[in-house]
Parts: sequence; structure tokens; C-alpha cells
Amino acid sequence: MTGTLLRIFCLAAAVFYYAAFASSYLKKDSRVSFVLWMIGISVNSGIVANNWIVNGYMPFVSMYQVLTFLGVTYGIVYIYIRYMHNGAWMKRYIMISQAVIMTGVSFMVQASEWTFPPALQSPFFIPHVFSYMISYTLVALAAILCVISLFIADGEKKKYENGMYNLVCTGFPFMVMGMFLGAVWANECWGNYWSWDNKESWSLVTVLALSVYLHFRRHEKLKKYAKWFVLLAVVFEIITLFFVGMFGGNSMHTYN
Amino acid sequence: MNKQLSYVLYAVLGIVMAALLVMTVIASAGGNLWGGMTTVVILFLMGLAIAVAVVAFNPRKGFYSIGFYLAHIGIVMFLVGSLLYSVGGYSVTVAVPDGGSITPLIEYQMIQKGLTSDDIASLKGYYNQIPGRETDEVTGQKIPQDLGFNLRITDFVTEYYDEEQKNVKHYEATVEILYDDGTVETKSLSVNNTLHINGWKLYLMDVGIDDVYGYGKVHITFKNDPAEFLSTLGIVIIIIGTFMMCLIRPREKDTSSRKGKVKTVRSVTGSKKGGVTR
Repeated sequence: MTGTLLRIFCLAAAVFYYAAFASSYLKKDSRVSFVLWMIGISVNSGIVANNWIVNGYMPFVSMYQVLTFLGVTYGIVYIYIRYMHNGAWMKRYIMISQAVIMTGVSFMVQASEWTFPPALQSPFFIPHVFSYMISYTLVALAAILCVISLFIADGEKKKYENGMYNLVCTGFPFMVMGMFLGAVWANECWGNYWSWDNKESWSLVTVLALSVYLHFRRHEKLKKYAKWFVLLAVVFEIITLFFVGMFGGNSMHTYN
Repeated sequence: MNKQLSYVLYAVLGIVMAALLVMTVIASAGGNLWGGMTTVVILFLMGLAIAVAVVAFNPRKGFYSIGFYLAHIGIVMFLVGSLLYSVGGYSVTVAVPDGGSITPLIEYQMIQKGLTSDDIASLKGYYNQIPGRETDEVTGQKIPQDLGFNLRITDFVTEYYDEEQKNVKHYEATVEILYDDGTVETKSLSVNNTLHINGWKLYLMDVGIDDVYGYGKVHITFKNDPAEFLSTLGIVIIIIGTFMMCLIRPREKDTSSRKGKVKTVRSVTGSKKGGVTR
């Protein structure tokens, strides 16, 4: 598929997500919203499938491919939260996150030609990237709930804070797994678990911020400071995901 | 627990975690804190943070505490493994000449540039020493260390994705190993596919061509990590423990309403403490 056509599909997915988000406010448990959302996810999955076929392997090789996959990951994550933590009410925040991501994606270069260097040809590649993607979606959602919980009445606050805790608890082990699988992989590939590469260090900072949140939350006096660390974590996460790739000169994780 | 002690511990945990965050942010921004000591200091602080966290934050009881213990014991195992490596392990990257790349033409050029046939034979022959840990104070050179086996590279292959040979698809070196008892083994070494020989782990890092003589060189990292099993086991335990701790949780008791009642009772009775704390 040509770049222009792909760009149109990305924009279409974004428009469907925005429409689903907007219509979720019109009526409670709106069926229209759900249908629009499903169409958006289908278009998004179609783009991912196209990337997959063009590549011949998991579409994780450029920022554009990773972010389109991230859109679908939100759908996977929703199924888990919906059935494990009664998270149906978080649906609209998932929709808006997907919409923002797909808007960003449609301004990127949809170049699908990419080569797979020897260092990436490892069984660790897919679990490393995939677990990071799951954790990034969950932490980003938790941060949205965190921001909302700052501005609402005390009665609703509890619901948002618990939702946030459930999301972080689901995402944190995946983030830890991604980081340590990366370390084992690096030890298999370069003979070093850790090399203070820019992206590695920023991902460690993200994990530390989340672990501060999880520890503080268990203590009654420190509990009130805990949620600021989720906001901090999402800032670090954005730095890890985007800014290191843009400015991080000598990182071995750079891709664009 | 003693109340004052617990306050001190929380303060220590807060400071240590803040220090870790700040140090990693500085390291992330490309700052050089104390050269090679950064990793050691951060590992020490992590250990301290874990110790304090284990003491200060009461783990859950019974079945739900398994994940907590696994995750924290795993981190300790990984830290101990890293410490053992920094004490007793060693790693060095060496450019090993590719004997197979010395063709008759290159050999002729080497002789023209002043190498003797003995030098060429040694380049083609077995390689059995690496620069060791200690430095000779007089010459400033690393004292050679015996590998305990001999190796030589007989062939090297590079595959490309494109005709212009810009994007590499695959590197592979053929390594011939001669053990002390006289047995010879031929193995292949490539990126992400290491060799384990006599406690050494061999990594293919890079390839190059000798500037002066034009023969091929294969950059190989020799690593000896006595605690590799411990570190890897620690990592596996951390991952399992974190999943258990975070995904298998006891239902949170909704204590907010009960606390509210307690508070009102206290304020009615006029207890000073009840009024001050919340």
C-alpha cells in the first residue's frame, strides 16, 4: 500500500476514535460509541496487519509501526481491565488516548521498508518490545485518571484512585519484565547487562518512579504524595519513548 | 514496630529513592557522575532501598506475601551477582586476525611492507592470550592472560540485504578451537549466538580491516562471569515475583467509612490526638 493511502487510513482511525469519544458523552453506555470504537480498532488493526505483511515479522521497527501497534494494544488491555477490574468506565479514556496516538501517527512518515540488523535478530526482541508497549499503555491511562482525580469531588476521587492503582499494578510487572528481558538480551548480545545507554537509564527512572508510587501507596502517611509519582512516571515514559529517539545521540535504541 | 524508628526508616527510604532518581536522571542526561563508580554506587543504594523497604513496609500476610518475597529476594540475588562479577569477573574485547582472509595477494603485500613469514604464520595461527586485568607498571601494557584454549578464525561471512552492501543481514565467523588435550572443534560464532568455552563466553562484536596490511579482523569479547547463573536466576525470580505481587492481590478493604466513624467518635470525646492527626 502506498504511503498516502496508509496516511488516509490512519486519519480515518483517528476520526473514528474521536467520534467514539465524543458520542460516549451523549448517552450513558452508548451503543453508537461502541460501534464507532470497534470500526476505529478494525481500521487500526488493518494498518498493523498491512505493516506485518510488508515486514514479514512483527511490526516493531519504526516509530510509526510501534505507535500504530500501540493503538491496538489499548484494545487488548481494555479486555483485561474490563473483566478483571470492572473497568468499563475507563473506555472513553482509552478512546481518547488511541485518538491522540493515531493523530500523531498520521503526521509521520509511513515508510515500510526497513532492514533487520543482526543485533535485533533474537527471540528476546518481540517479548521485550511487546511487554513495554502493554505497560506504556497502562501507565499512560493511569496518568490520565490521575490528572482527572486532581480536579474532581472527593466522592468520585476514590474510584479514580483505585482505578489508577489497578492500572499501575497491571502495567508495572510488564515494565519490569521488559526491562530485565532487555538486560538478559544485552548480556547475550554484547556481554553486558546494563550499559547506561540513554534509553536504558530513562526507562530505569520510569520504573523507579512507579516503584516509589507502589511503596508510598502502602503507607498511610506517604499515601497522599504517591500519585504525583505516576505523573512523574508518565513524563519519564514520554521522554523514554520519544525524546531519546529524537535527541539521544549515541543510543543503541534509536529508531525513527 | 517502634514508631520513631519507622519514621527514620521512611525518611531514609525517601532520601535513598530520591537520590536514585536524581542520579539516574543525571546519568540519563549523559552526565558522568564518578566514572566507573556510578554502577556500584547505584547498586549499593538500590540494595539499601530494598533493605529499608522490606523492613519499613509490612508485607502482606500468608499466600499473598510470596510474590513480595520472591521479587525482593530476586533483586538481592541480582545485586549479589553483579557484585561478584565486579569482584571476580573479567571482560575484554580483542581484535582477532581472520586467518582465512590472508590470501596469497595480501600475503605478498605484507611481505612487501616488511613482514617476515614468521609474522604472517603467527597471524594465521592459533590465538591463546588476551590482555589481562593487571597493568605492567614499567611498560604500561596489560599483562597477558592465558585463555586455557587456542582459537583461530578460519572464515568470516557477511550477508547484506541490498546490492550496495549498506545494510548488514548476518555476520558469521567460523572458529576453530584447539584444546590442551589435542582435540580440535569447529564452531560458528555470530551476533546473538555466543560460544561457551572453558568458562569463557565469546561474543562477536564487530568486524574490521587492518589499516596497514589489509587482512580482516574479528572483534571478539571474552567474558568470564562466575555469577552469571545467579544473576540470570535472580532476574527470572524478579519477573515471576513482580507478576505475582502485582496481579495476585488481596481485595482492598474499603476502610474509608470505618475511619470516618472512628474520627467522629474521637472528636466527640474530645481526644486531642484524634483532632491533631487528621
